[in-house]
Parts: sequence; C-alpha cells; structure tokens
Amino acid sequence: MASWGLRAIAALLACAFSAPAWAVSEADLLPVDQAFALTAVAPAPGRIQLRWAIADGYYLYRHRISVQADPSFASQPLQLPHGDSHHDEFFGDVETYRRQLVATLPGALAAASVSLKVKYQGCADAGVCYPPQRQTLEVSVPAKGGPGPFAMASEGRPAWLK
Amino acid sequence: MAEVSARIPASRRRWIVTLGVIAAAALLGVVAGKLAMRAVFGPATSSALDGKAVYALSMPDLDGKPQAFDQWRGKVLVVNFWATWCAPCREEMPALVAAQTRYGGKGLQVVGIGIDDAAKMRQFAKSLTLNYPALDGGFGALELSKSFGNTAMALPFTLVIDRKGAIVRRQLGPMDERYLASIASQLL
Repeated sequence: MASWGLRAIAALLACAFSAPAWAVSEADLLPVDQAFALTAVAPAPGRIQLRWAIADGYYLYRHRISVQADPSFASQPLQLPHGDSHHDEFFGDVETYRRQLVATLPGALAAASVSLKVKYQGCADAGVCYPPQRQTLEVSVPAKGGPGPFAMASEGRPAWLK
Repeated sequence: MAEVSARIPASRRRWIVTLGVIAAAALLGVVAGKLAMRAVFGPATSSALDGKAVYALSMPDLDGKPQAFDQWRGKVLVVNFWATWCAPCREEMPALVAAQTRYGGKGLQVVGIGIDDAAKMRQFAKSLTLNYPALDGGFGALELSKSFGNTAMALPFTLVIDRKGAIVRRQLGPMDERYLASIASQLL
C-alpha cells in the first residue's frame, strides 16, 4: 500500500519536473578544443602527422575533415584511417572517429616550417554538435637526416569567425 | 467512516484509499510543478539578452524573404537554432513539426534559425516538409545564440519565450514531444 502510494507520488512528481531526459548541461560539455585536441608534427621531411585526441563520448566526422597546407609543401591527399561506419539519413554513409585519430599528409620538403589550415567538425554523444572548426597550425619540418619530430600548436578559431 | 468501511469490501476499500493517495499526489504534483517551473526556468542570466531582444530580429527565410520576429509577438515562441551538419538537430525536428501542428492554433510558434548554407537547409527542409519558418541565420547566428545564453555554442539550442516576451527556458540538446507538450500546457 505504502509503496503503491509512494510510487504514485514519484510518478506524478516525475511528470511535474518533465524536462527532457537528454537536456544537456553546459557544465558537462567540454570546450571544443578539449573535446578534439589537435596537434601536428612532422616526423619526416615529407610527412606531416595530424593527431586528434578525442575525449570519451565525443566523435569526429570523416567527411568534414580537411587540411590545406602551404603550396610549398606540395601536399598530396590527406590519408585518413577507416572509421566507424554509420548511415546518416541526410549525408548517406558516413564514418566517425572516436578516442584518437591520426591522419597523414604526405608532401615535399621546401621550407623549415609548414602552415596548415585544418577544418573539422564533431559532436558529443550527449546530443549536441559543435560547429565546424578551423584551426591554423605551424609545423616545423626536420632537415633531411636531422632529428624530428618538431611540434607545433597555434591559435585556433572557430570557422565562422573567419 | 467505520460504518462505510464495514459495508465496503476490503478490495474496494484499498482502491478508495489508493485513489485518495493518487489525488493527493496529483495536488502535490501541481504544486511541485509550479515550484519546478520557477526552479528550472529560473531567472534569465543577467549577461544574456532577454526575450524582448528577439522581437528586434529579422532574418531572411529560405526563399530570401525577410522575416521580422515582431510578427510573432504575443505568441509562445520556440526559437530553435539548428544546422544540417548537426544530426541531433535533424532528429528533433519532427517533434517541433508535431508541436507546431498540435499547438499552432493555440498560439505556439516554432521558428528555426539555421546556422548553415541556405542551399543545404532548403534541401533538408524539403525532405521534412517543415510547417514552420526556417530562417537563414548564417554562421553568425551562432554568436547570436551565445548572446541568448548558448555559452557552449553547440547545437541544437532552443529558447522558449512566453507571450509576454520573457525567456522561460533555454535548452541545449534536443527537445522531445513530451517536453514540448508540457511547455504548451504550462504556457498556452
């Protein structure tokens, strides 16, 4: 009896406080550059490696990643690993990355450093997405036979500000 | 009461008591609901723009025709910031369409502000048969959403503005039909 009544009260209270179960709290959401921490290094003169450390519960879309390097680097197409396949009703078959993504940009050494313009976009499992990001990175390229890798990280600004 | 109990079989009595408990709980629920409204909706953050600032906005719709928000003054306004690149946004839109169908006649107005390329939005709006205005906010509308309290600058983000122009709810993350129904019952 008592438990019946309590359950009835609990159920009605639940209705009264009916915010949707998946309302996202900003406090629980990481800033985009922490959700997807991007770094780039040049382990060899003709190769730049981009690495995203992706926080748990966040994912990046493969089809929304692009990199543009200085023309002097004469970069070839970005090499991306296979991600998890999903069917998206609007975009069709898409791939996503979780935890970590390492992409390789092959090119040719021309200068001591290469400037990269990287675009990416991702979402949180909590039910929100971040807008497309555009980040500019400066990567030091090791001289032939010299020690590597040399790293970089520079200012990132959201794409819509540019 | 003793006499009544004597005449009513135990099983019926249990039902009467249960109904009594439910009625009491319902009353409690209504009171708690009112309190919760105040707690959940809360006072608007002082740094954020208030609802009246919404009426000053004007944006082109997907046909390029300017739409002034002032035309929706006096309605319960559900302003939904969205984009095609945001799957949770696209997933919540049928619930917004349903809410517009169900409560539009009673004074609810859903307005979508797209943070996207207009061409992509047009393509998507066609596939969904949107029954509410979808406006072309461009990427600048993300900053606009921030000034209304979307400090995370993530999507979807929705403002609920009452008939008097007060923002009564800011929601990061998708809306669902049940929640929209509770908004309608509380504000319409």
